[in-house]
Amino acid sequence: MLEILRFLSDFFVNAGALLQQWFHQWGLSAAWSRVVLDIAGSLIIVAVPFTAIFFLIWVTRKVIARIQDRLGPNNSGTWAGPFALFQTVADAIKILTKEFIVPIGADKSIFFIAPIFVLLAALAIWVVVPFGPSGMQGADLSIGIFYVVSISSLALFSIVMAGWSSRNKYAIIGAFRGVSQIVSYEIPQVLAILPPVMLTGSLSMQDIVMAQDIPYIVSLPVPAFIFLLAVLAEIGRLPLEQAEADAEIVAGYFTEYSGMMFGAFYLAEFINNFAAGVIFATLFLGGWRGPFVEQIPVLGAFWLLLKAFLVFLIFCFFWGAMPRLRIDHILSLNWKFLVPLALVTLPVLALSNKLLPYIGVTSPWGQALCLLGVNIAVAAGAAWSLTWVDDYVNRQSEELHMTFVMPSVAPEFGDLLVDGDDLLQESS
Amino acid sequence: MIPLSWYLMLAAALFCVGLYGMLAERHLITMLMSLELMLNAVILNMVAFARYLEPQALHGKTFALFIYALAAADAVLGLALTVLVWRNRDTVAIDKINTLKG
Amino acid sequence: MFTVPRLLFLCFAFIALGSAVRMVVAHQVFHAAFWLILSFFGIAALYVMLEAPFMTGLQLFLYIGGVAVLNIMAIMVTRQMMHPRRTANDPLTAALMAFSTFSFILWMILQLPFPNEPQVPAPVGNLPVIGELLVDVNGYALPFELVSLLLFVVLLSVLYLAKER
Repeated sequence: MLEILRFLSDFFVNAGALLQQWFHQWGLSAAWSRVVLDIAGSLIIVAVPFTAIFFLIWVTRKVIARIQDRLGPNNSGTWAGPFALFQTVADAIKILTKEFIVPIGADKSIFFIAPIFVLLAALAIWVVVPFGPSGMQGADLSIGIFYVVSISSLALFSIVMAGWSSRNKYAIIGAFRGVSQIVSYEIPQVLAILPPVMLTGSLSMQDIVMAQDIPYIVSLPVPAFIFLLAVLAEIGRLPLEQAEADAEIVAGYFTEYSGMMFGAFYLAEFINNFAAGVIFATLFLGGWRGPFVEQIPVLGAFWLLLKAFLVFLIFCFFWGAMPRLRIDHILSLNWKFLVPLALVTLPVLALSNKLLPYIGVTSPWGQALCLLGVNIAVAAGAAWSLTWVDDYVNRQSEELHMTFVMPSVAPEFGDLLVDGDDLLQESS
Repeated sequence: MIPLSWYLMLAAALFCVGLYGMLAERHLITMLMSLELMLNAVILNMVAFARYLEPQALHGKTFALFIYALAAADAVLGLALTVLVWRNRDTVAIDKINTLKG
Repeated sequence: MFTVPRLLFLCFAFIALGSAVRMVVAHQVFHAAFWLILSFFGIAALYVMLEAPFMTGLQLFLYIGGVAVLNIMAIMVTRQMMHPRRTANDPLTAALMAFSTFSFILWMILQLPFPNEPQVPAPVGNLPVIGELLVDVNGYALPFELVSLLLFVVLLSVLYLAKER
């Protein structure tokens, strides 16, 4: 009994060792048994996001329906089953039975590659996610988090492919918006990843988790905030969802897709959302670390997925509650707020982290609290300068009301934070 | 293992394909694309040399990093100029951009 | 002769070279951009074979995620995508030049005694060393600062160029 429990406590590593032993007994050479085990492992890794999103789509529908006060998924009396549990099944059947439609002018080869590519890019991130202490990771690459950043920039690509090849105005507008948004938000994303990497001294995901005796969200709340917003733009969730703004440009870059090809985009979107939660949890919330992980390593996967699920819920609440920002507002939020904030935060944190041992702070908690203080100072400075800019803009616009400046001059005053057109509309 | 000369031959071939594109193209953007292919061939050379001839594999990779930075700079500037040319003259074919020709 | 790494090398080399050739002969500029990206992928795979994972990441991030996407954006902005592509007056001369350059380099490569095997096993975790070398005064501190200056100038000049006038 105890043996079984011990086996189950580190199930994946032990099962791998056992299988390897069996393969050896069956006379399989070491290299081939390695290959078989690698294939099995990658199947398990692929299975994680797919099973997770089956549940996550249901959660999203419930949450959104609750927020928007809609009956649909919350009406448990329908055939969708108790608590509308089979809603995802119904969705899947609906999508699978729909017809593929290829627009006449479409660039066929690229049109068909795009959905495959988007799924590949969404799944490739999971290779480096550490689910547990050791052995429960696809590959502990030495460039771990950098790999994640590069793969997430590939998602951009499927947007361009889909948007261009469908030969549709809405699709190409969505592609343009998506590209400009994602390319811009890559900068604060990378700048926000750097502080945890700096504190760890390694790019490997496993090392970053191991370094978090105190989760980095305690010592680095400002980078965590920047990363959350940037990743929100990368995955295109609601306040920053311009690539597929369904009220304006139908469905953005995948307007022309139908049936399972649309399904691929839909699945990839959810996988990306969940992957964003997982990456956030790994970088800032301590990854797989939690109570009892030392005794029962399998629990690590549970803690990681739980934390990722909490981040995913935040995305869901945003989706339900936020209005959609205009594309130029999204870009100015990035270039005028997030990038300067990240650019200030990084050197300030680096300097204070180097200075801490000299003023006698060496304990991990002392270090974390000092860095927290620095973060709060940076955030307060950012808030103060924002209010100052806000005052400045308000004063300018009051002058504008009084002196009745010609409209062609007006935008230059408002350009600081608020867009000029808004001011004009208010004054007219 | 793979001989170093294989990598060098591949890089040379890539470079020459890029050279052909550079010489035969009329379209500014595809010329820039050929240029990027040539730069990539050079980087491949650098990394291969670093792996095979350098015990620490440091200087070759550092050089490759610099080439990456320069390549990014020239792509950005070149494409901005291309878009500007297109805006002013409504074409990006280089044989149409000949106002300076006597 | 043909061991597994060699076959893998040939496979990736075929992807890189084949798609590069497809790039320069593609009928549409937009397809040329995608063949270029496939070629970049092939080269990224070759970096994996050279045991340089950081270069692979850079290739994916900078070239495929950055430069290639910029190319595609420029093609979409300049509305040249559906136009059939025209080459210069005599592509034959160009091909001849390229081929003669290639034969010259090939002749040089075959003259020199290059090793068949790497001299030492690949260094593990030399990324921090490269980072220190970049900011070392005796290393590459000056070129590093110059490159950052160059990138800054490029940023400013592109902003100036992109301004509506």
